[in-house]
Amino acid sequence: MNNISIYLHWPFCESKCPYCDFNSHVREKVVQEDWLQGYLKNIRLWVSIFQNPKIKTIYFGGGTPSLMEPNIVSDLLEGLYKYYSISNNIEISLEANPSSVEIKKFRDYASAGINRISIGVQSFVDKDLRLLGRRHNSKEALSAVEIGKNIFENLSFDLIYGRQFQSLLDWEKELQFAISLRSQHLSLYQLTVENNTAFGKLFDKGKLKGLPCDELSRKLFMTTNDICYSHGYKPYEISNFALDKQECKHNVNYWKCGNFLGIGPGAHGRYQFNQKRFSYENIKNPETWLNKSFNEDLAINIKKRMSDLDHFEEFVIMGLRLSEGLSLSKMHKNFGKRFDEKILQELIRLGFIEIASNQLKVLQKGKVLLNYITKQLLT
Amino acid sequence: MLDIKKIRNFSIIAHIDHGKSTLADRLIQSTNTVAERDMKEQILDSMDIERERGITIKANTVRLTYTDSKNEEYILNLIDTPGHVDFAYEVSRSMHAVEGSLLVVDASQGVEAQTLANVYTAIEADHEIIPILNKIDLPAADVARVKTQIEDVIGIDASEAINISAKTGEGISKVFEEIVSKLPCPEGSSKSPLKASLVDSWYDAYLGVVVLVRIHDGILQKGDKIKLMQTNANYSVDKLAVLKPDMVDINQLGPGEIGVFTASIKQVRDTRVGDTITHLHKGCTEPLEGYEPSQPVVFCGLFPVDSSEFEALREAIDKLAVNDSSFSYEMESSAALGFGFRCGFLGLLHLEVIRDRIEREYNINLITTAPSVIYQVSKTDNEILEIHNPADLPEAVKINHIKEPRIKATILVPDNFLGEVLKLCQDRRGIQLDLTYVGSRAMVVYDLPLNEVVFDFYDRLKSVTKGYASFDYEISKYVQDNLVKMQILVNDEPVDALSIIVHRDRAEMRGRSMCEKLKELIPQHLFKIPIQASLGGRIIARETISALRKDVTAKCYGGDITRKRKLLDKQKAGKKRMRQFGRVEIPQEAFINALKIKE
Ligand SMILES: Nc1nc2c(ncn2[C@@H]2O[C@H](COP(=O)(O)OP(=O)(O)OP(=O)(O)O)[C@@H](O)[C@H]2O)c(=O)[nH]1
Ligand SMILES: C[S@@+](CC[C@H](N)C(=O)[O-])C[C@H]1O[C@@H](n2cnc3c(N)ncnc32)[C@H](O)[C@@H]1O
Ligand code: SF4
Ligand SMILES: [Mg+2]
Repeated sequence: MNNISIYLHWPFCESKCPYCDFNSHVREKVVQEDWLQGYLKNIRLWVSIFQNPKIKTIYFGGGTPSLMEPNIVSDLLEGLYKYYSISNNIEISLEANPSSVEIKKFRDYASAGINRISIGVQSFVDKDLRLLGRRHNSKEALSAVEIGKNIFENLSFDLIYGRQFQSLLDWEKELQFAISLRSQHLSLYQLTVENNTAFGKLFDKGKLKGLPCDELSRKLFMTTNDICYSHGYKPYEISNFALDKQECKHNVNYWKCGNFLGIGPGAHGRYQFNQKRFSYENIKNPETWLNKSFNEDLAINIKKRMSDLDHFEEFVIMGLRLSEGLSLSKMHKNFGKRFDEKILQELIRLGFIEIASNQLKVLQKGKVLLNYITKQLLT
Repeated sequence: MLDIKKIRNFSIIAHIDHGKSTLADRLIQSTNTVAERDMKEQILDSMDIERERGITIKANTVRLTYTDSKNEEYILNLIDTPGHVDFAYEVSRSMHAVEGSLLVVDASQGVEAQTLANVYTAIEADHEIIPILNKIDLPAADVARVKTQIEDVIGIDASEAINISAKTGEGISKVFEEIVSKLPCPEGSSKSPLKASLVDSWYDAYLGVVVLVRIHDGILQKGDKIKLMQTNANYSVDKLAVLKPDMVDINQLGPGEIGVFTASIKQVRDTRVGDTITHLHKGCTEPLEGYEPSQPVVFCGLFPVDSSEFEALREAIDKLAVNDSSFSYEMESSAALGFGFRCGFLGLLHLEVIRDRIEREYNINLITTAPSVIYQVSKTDNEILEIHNPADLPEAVKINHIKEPRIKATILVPDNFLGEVLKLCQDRRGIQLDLTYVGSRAMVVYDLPLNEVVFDFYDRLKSVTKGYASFDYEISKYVQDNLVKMQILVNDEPVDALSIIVHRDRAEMRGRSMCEKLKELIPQHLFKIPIQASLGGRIIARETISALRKDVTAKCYGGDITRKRKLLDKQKAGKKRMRQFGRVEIPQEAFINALKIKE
């Protein structure tokens, strides 16, 4: 194994957003120095497993990694460089929340080595930011984007659409505005009501009002793709849009089933070792994770050799999300599998997919039903 | 040879959840029958389904050795019985094997419908009854009130009832003392020819058919040549054991004892519950008085989702039938579903349990068709048919009239919920027979049609009374009524497995409810699916499942993939449980769940 991506999970936030089911926790006090040691120990232990890996991308995700002190980020990166070689054009991203405190750290992050920032804007409408339980307002969001653009060579921001009481027209206007900011990259997620979140509970009680019906939801998705496309943002993945060649390399690596180490509470990893593929998961609870790390142990929970079927299914589930599609010949070569011809023909007839020179691509009409298509192909 | 005077046999009876199995745990534990490290809660509930649902389904026997304060040793055979109505038969047949009953009443709840029903069965079986008030550790326990209740409602003396907590073990020693002092010892003679009754039998993967017997007279030994009197089948006993609760080999069983044997029995139908077992030579001539197996009242079709599993299903059903004499079956074939079995059950829970056991223990996916009761159909040519499959109903013009079974239902409910209960019974075409009060609890007796009760009456009753009502019933009579066949059309095609026989006045409501339910149960397809209920070609209700318009996961990164795969695995499993009807895939649970009425 030589090429690898590294995901570092910072599990803390200022407050818990009502829609969020990430492994994020609110703690009064976090001793960042301890956490730095925890991460470094895990990094060292992984090094003993792999020889000479080359890091292609690093991603600080969360939680809210922009709560990390820049010197901690810097020391962490230093720690990584000590053991791993770095590819020339390495991409190092950090997720940031757009509060004024965090914006002030942008320059220091850049000096620490961060070259791509991903800002959790979520909305440019104050009323909606409140509905989403966010702590920032639209002015802060805008200034975070503008300041970030001057500091980082690559900037992305996230928006959540399909929000409560949001009409198609509302969203089109907001998206047009977002596009006018000309960030290199956009992540546009349709709101998902997850179980075990405050929204999930309200929803079950029938108290989460104003969500779009399926039909509107479909239109929102389609329009998002159309508008982005016509303004030069290529919809390269279901929820991700980039100006030419500005795709997020770290995430593309996930969709292409590359190798990645996940470090930090709840982080997942996948890697190839001696021709076998492994998957693992870190301990979820932050304190337990840290304790275990201090005992000079990898703080992971489950690690297992993936079956060929598991690997194949991940390859398909992930690969179909990318607009460039899935190479059927590669699929056959690596897994010895082909899709059922009848099902393929039916999906083609319905205009959901196309197959050209052995590359299966999901078309826009299919993307909006991707789960259905994946299910058809894999069950 | 055991001294018969040192044997006590008893069953533990109670309303559902009043703590029978927990009391059995304490009795097992105090006599060190099971090693402490192997002990677990409700140890006798050994089937997966029992543990999952937290209820007893099969009666279970254990032999305990108890030493009293005078250092006298006694053999106690206890039978833990189920509390749910559907398994009342397990209780009644267990009672035939023993001389007494421990009547457990939850002191925080009081007398409930199955308390009553079981006490009456015990009295009929001439049992000595020891009343026990359980759960006295609970703050809500009200011993004095419940004692009065037992006396008022059941009419047995409760002044000496034992107060216990099966959970903490309080009062258990008193239970042993009374078992020994109050229960009669069995009667019988070891000199007389062998006379044993077949109490239960089941299929064991290693041992084959295992038979549980109670010896009345004579001695049964390993190697004996025996005869089952009803079927006249002969066998020789391979293995003889007592249950502790695992089998422990023993050389002989004498009068009053309860134990199990195996005898390479192949014909599962040979082991009829209630049959008398004797020696092949010099056996007894008069069999014991047998008892009627209870008759199934609910019928449905069971079909393998994968039609190649028909033979496997036959084998599974054969084996389960050994274990459960109240379950009946015969082969059936259907145009849409292929080959399967038409099966009869004591109630819906019984049906669900058998279905789950087939699916789990034998790994066969099943489609269960709409359950039905037995209707008596008088044709215009005077022929009378017994029908429990709507598909077998003759054309309307050939039917003179249809009779349906009705039941006598007894419901106990706190006064403040009485209104809800009366309304529910009234909605289900009930006729009130009686209403009396015991303190603040009402006891209502209703005459109800069985087909209105079978599917979800018990669930509804629990929900409208917040779990405070209890319910018991017995079949009373067949009565003529205005009954019609209702068909369900999915995507314009009739689905036989969903058609039901229903009262004309209730048809519209049932039709609407079924269409609504099916709308929830059938997954969206890429096209619109109309669902209709029809009576003789006339549509009486309609719903539409809208086409799938959007189904895509917004976020899927490194950590999300595991979750996504789990979802896919679930969908794969779900797909295995779907059956294609025309262009529509219907999940197998839909057939039963569609009948549970929304109110
Ligand atoms: N607090 C308390 N709980 C008890 C006591 N005895 C039983 N329980 C609880 O009551 C519930 C039902 O107990 P079981 O022993 O399964 O009742 P059962 O009568 O065997 O139930 P079925 O076999 O389903 O009719 C369980 O959750 C027990 O833990 C007791 O003395 N005190
Ligand atoms: C790891 S999260 C959070 C990063 C950062 N803590 C924040 O909230 O800004 C990455 C993105 O996922 C999106 N997201 C989180 N929960 C979501 C949900 N339930 N539905 C849709 N998008 C969601 C948000 O846009 C969020 O910015
Ligand atoms: S800030 Fe981000 S990670 Fe934290 S709770 Fe909100 S959405 Fe979740
Ligand atoms: Mg029990």
